[in-house]
Amino acid sequence: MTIAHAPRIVTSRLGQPRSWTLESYLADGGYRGLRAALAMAPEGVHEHVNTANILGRGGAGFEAGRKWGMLRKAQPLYLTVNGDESEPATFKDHALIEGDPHQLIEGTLIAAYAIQADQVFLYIRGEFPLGIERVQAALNEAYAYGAVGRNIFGSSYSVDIVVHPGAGAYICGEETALLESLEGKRGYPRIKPPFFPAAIGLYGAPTIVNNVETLSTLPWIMLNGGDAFAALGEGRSKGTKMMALSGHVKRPGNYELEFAKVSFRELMYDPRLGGGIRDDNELKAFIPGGASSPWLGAEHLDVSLANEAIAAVGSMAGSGSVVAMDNTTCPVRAAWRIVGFFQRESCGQCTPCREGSGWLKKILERIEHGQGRASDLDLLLDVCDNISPGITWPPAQTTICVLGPSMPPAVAAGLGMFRDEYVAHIREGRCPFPPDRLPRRLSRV
Amino acid sequence: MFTLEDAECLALCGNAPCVTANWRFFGDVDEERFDTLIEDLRAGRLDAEVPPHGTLIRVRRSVGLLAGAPGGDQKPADATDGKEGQPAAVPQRAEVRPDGGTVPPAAHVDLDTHRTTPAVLSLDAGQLEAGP
Repeated sequence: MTIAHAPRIVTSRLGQPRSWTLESYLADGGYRGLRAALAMAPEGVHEHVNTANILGRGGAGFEAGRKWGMLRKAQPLYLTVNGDESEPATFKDHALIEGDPHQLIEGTLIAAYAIQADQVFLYIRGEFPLGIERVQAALNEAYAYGAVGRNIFGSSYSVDIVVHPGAGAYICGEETALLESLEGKRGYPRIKPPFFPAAIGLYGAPTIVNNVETLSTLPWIMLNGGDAFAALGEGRSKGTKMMALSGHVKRPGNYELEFAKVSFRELMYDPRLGGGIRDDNELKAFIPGGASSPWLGAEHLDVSLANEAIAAVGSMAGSGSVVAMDNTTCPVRAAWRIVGFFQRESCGQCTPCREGSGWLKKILERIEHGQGRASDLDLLLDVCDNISPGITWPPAQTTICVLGPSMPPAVAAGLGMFRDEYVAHIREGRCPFPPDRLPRRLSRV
Repeated sequence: MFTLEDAECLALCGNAPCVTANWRFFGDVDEERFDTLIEDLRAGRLDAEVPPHGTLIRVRRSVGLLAGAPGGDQKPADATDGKEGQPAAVPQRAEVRPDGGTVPPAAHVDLDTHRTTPAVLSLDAGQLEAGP
């Protein structure tokens, strides 16, 4: 029952008419959080965020307040907003960018004030033109309203926000690649250390990179206090979390739920949430945290949606994207799709990822098309092992960033859970599963 | 008039399968809706929402950078510039003005979507009422 009573912190305005305009945002109490923040010292704002203990919502789950605390003291300081959401199955930031740009801008300004940033860059994925338009329009309104620019709301703090559209590369969601991209270079991730953005970031200056959802919670935190946020959730997983549910469920979509209080079973089967598996099929497996996380099976349905709980069973909460796969799903085809995405998006900087991704894709493709060889299963694991030695979780890596190690989980988990089905592909010389089909037309459309 | 290509990761999994036409998203597409979409695009009924090929973004920034602009109240770090002499005694908000060859806001662009699928979805579902 806890799922019924948690406040909707970031999604409260989504779906309301013209929720992206200043007018409707102000009517709903908008920019009061920023005013509250400006009334206190920057350290006070930071303290609230520390108290709230908000884990970064981008996927890595690092405490936002601690990240801010690691900033090297120097001028200039930059704040960069990571709106480059593009991992398969992840679609929460898309909703926030398009549906509530003012909340994002307000949250960004609160963060900028807390760290005393000199300039803010709002990096938004290039494939979200409507989102970019709405954020830019909202920013124009915010400037005219006095919320951005010189002497915000009459205070002594001044900061500019610049919207920067990306060009649609998944790798630019990696924070150091994002900074390279902002600098006008090719989106190659940097080596950490020494290039931790908080020390050496954009143009060599200390930089904070925060996710859209993380920043969108700040207006609520400023109004209700860090304690109120920390009162929700459990353990390290505080507050609410947007869960992007997709795949073979009856009601896919974005759900904001109290962190650590809902299980995967409730998320997928509760009639107010996922509503069950399509055609009332059996659940075969599910991806708990975006395409790069190891799959879990039906035996893990009662794991709660919390960072620690999911980590304990060998996967990750990631960005909060859950994909359900029913028993008609072909594990080879699913892995092939996932690996195919990462192969296309590999930036090519590190050999294991650049070459390994192509190998994995080709091998999976031939297994799926009935041309697999008996030796292919070991070969798959060998290639995975070269990208991520030991194929463990959390992954070791032979690459600069974690894009490479994002591939082995789909292959290794699928192979571990459904080895018989891989073997059946090879033995029968064809895929034993039915072809993909379009979901039935949804009733609400 | 049309070229059909595959597109990947439109961040609209909740409305899969989806289509992007000149980067505007259409979700929950089935055969019938796809045909309607093509007809509407061909007839120009979606011109307000789907810009012509080659136009990505129709809204431009309406103001230049203001925070470090000379004049008025300065941040302590900027005060050393001294370009405009004395900082204003009373902090007051600089008036917002277009400066430096900026583009005026495109007031005619309606950002409402009637036919494309906004990313907000399943909100009826997200709106949880108290349980029994």
